[in-house]
Amino acid sequence: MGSFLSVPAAKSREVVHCETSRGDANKKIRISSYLDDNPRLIPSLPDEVSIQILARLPRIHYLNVKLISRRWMTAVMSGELFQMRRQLGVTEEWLYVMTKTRGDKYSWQALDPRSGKWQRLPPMPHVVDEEEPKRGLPGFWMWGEIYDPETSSWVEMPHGMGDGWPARQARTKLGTVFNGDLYALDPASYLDNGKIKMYDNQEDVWRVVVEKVPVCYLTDSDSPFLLAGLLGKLHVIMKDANHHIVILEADLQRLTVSNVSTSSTAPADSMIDNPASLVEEEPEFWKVIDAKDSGAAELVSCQVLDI
Amino acid sequence: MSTESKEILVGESSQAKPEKKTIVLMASDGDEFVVDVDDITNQSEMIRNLISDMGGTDGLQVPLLNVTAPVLAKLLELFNVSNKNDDDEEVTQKVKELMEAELNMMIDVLGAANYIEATSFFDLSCKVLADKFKGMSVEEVREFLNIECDFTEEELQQIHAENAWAFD
Repeated sequence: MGSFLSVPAAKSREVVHCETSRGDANKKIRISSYLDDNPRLIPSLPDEVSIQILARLPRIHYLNVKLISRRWMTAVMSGELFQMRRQLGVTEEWLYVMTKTRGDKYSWQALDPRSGKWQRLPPMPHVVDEEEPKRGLPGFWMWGEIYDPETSSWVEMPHGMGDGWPARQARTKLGTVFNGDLYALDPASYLDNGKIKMYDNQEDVWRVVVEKVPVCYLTDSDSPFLLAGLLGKLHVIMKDANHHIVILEADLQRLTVSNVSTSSTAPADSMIDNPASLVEEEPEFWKVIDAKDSGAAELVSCQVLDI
Repeated sequence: MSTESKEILVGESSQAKPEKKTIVLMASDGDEFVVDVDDITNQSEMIRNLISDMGGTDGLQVPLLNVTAPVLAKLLELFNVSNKNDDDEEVTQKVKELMEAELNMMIDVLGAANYIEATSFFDLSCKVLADKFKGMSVEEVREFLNIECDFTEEELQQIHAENAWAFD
């Protein structure tokens, strides 16, 4: 029933609520001073209801909502609000992209795909930098920080989680789970196009689903591709020649339609040409959903969070 | 208990049946509202459950301790709009108008809708308010909802700086 945040004085609030329904301005002032120690979000509403209103607000607005008052700030950083969003089915998927600048400074930015707005995350507080190497682990980093999107803050990773963390592949994030399937990206070589393949767990093989990832951006071999499933579509994140982080959306549904006309050759190789592979250079298959100037920063990794 | 008794028949729209079942809702100040059973159970989960728990509607009187007569009258008026229309467009418009004209009444109606578990009406009213916030500055929201800013000037500057960082 009651929210965590309004435990004290719940009873007296009920009484107050009955008295105030006519919205008399004088009464409002009285209430806010009466409940000064723990004012409500909206003076004449129980906080449980106000949280319901907040939950229906797209979370790109939460940064500003924080500025309203202390109580509102606590509310938009509370687990209660995000639990309510899940309950109401109004969670939003954002894409979180990690970049690295020259001095090995890492930073994260989040894209809200609906509003097209980018939001920089607060800096990670305890990232291991070169001057302070942690107990001789050359070749890969030990990440000890976890970003909590609900409070928009970094917390230290629990020991057990850190111990089991897999070693990272070299500067790429080429795999993603999307609609319950594992996808991976084969980066382009000098001779070959980049391909996207999907793991077929029944036959234990990878199948190519997209023959050709746009390669014009591949001038800088330092910049990896990243792969992510966002809003029900597969996305490739890469840096183009103009130092823009480009987010490309692949329309896999079109792919299913187009695969009818293609035939399979099924070689015995572990890499099988899939019947679902894309008719080459289908024009509208790739769509740029966002491009952001990243300056000298290089892509490192990405993650989609639905909260 | 009450000085006068109002009878507002909700749901004139559905007079096809000769005999409509009704129940009585009692506002906190004792005013009574006679409502059509189908119309109210169409909106309120609480009353729907109550009727099924009681095994019928005969002479049922439901005291709504948290809802005053003017708020209940407004809520029933909006239910009427909702019941008459297949989609939510019309009732959403009415809720918006109420919010612009009498915010306190709208908020009380929202609280009452929550209390009687009028789920879909509550949902659309919450959305109307959330949509309103989308287009407002922090200062406007404070003024709109009569909220006092309890941050110190330094704290405000710090949060502003954090936000400025976040949005470049």
